[in-house]
Amino acid sequence: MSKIEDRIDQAVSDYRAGKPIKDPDLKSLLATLDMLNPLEDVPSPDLVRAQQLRQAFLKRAKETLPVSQPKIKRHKGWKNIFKKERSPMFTFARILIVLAIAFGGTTATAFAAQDSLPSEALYPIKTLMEDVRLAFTSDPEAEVELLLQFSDERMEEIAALIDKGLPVPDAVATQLQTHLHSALQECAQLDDAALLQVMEQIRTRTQEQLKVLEKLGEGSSNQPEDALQLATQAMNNTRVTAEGALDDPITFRLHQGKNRSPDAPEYPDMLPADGTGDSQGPGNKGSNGKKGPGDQDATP
Amino acid sequence: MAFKEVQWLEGARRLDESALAAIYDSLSPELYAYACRLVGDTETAEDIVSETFFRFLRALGAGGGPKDHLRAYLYRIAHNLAVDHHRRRDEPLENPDLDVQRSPSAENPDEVVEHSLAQTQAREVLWRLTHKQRQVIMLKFFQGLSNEEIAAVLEKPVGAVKSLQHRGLKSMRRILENDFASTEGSP
Repeated sequence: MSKIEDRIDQAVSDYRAGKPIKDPDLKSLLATLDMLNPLEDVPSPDLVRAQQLRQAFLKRAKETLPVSQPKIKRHKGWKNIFKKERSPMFTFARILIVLAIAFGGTTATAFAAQDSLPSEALYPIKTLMEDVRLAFTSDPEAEVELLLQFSDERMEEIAALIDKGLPVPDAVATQLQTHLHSALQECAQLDDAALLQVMEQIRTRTQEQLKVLEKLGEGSSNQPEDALQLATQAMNNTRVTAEGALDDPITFRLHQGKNRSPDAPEYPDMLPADGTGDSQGPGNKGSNGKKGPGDQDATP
Repeated sequence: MAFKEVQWLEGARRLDESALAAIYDSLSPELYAYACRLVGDTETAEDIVSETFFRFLRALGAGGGPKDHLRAYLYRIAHNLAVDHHRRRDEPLENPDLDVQRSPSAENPDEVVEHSLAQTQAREVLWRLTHKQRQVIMLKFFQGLSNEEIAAVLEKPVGAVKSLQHRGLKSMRRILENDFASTEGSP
């Protein structure tokens, strides 16, 4: 971390404490915080409603009580470790861990790498650690959450690079695209309730990120266009896919399922889900929404 | 993590009613203030707090929930809910609710309107920051969380929090200079 960030941190603390900003270089930067002052005052909540919400929470807590969790869960984690089929990433993760043990000090390096940018030496460690985290996650919902976190991280990196006036490597945008694509694929493994919830999240997150990308594009006239365009395109595609999934989860599963043949058409000829023989186009609703990702073959 | 928070979490994992009530009573006011500043609407802020605690409860019921950093966990949920809400609204910043926006000290209607517009502008600038920059600025500036606590919210190291704070302030200044220069003047 650079010294300026420590100085700013101290100055922000001083500002909050009402102390004068001693550092003349930071005065104008800290002055931007003045514009947040109108948000300091928060109107009181409706006390009656607040009390009702509190009661509702405690009532729900009581209802939750009978659902006790077993104190000792059957140990099944080792199944994940020793199962026959392993992704190349898992092998890679094992190699990394062995190297970490062999060379020591890697934990500290990995920790320091978390804040690195693509232009910095520790950045490969950061992405390696992300791969390791993914390799050790087997629950699809957790994987989706991780992948979305990583896409947020790529967005932060893009913003930071532009902020520093540095070029955004295409690789960062490509990684962003990969994270988003993988997240969608993992979503296809979720049950319907989880799928809709996550898709709603993805939709809102991508909409927000698209606005950020738009602003970054406006403020970075000296940037090569490619990386930002690719990031915007990936974000937009993901948003559109999420919206489509909210409308029609079955077709989404067919398109995104991991078992789907790579040469399958974009909109496969659907087997009738309701037994009527009517084909389903991409905009049609599924009949029951209960099909798993492998339940219907997308290939004709 | 504070000792009190450790005790709360232990109680919460057992779904102990008194622990859950203590958590709700202690943390819901600050979560409400946080949500209210983000969304600018008391009713929505109350809904966000309520949903935050329901999600917490649901996670506990399923044997999950935070292992530590309870406060950070709740802030994270509340922030995500506020973001979801913000994106669902078409024009969230164009129609400020004057009843909600009124400053406690403002009696004059002109002052009320002016204050409301200033709040709208502040919120607009905040929503133009990236997700994490906004979280850092809000949590540090308004909620008074330490860098360590913010790091727990973001699940990032303290150094990253400081970097985000730096970048967030610079972004705010740039937005003010570029988009609000005509009304605010250069800072």
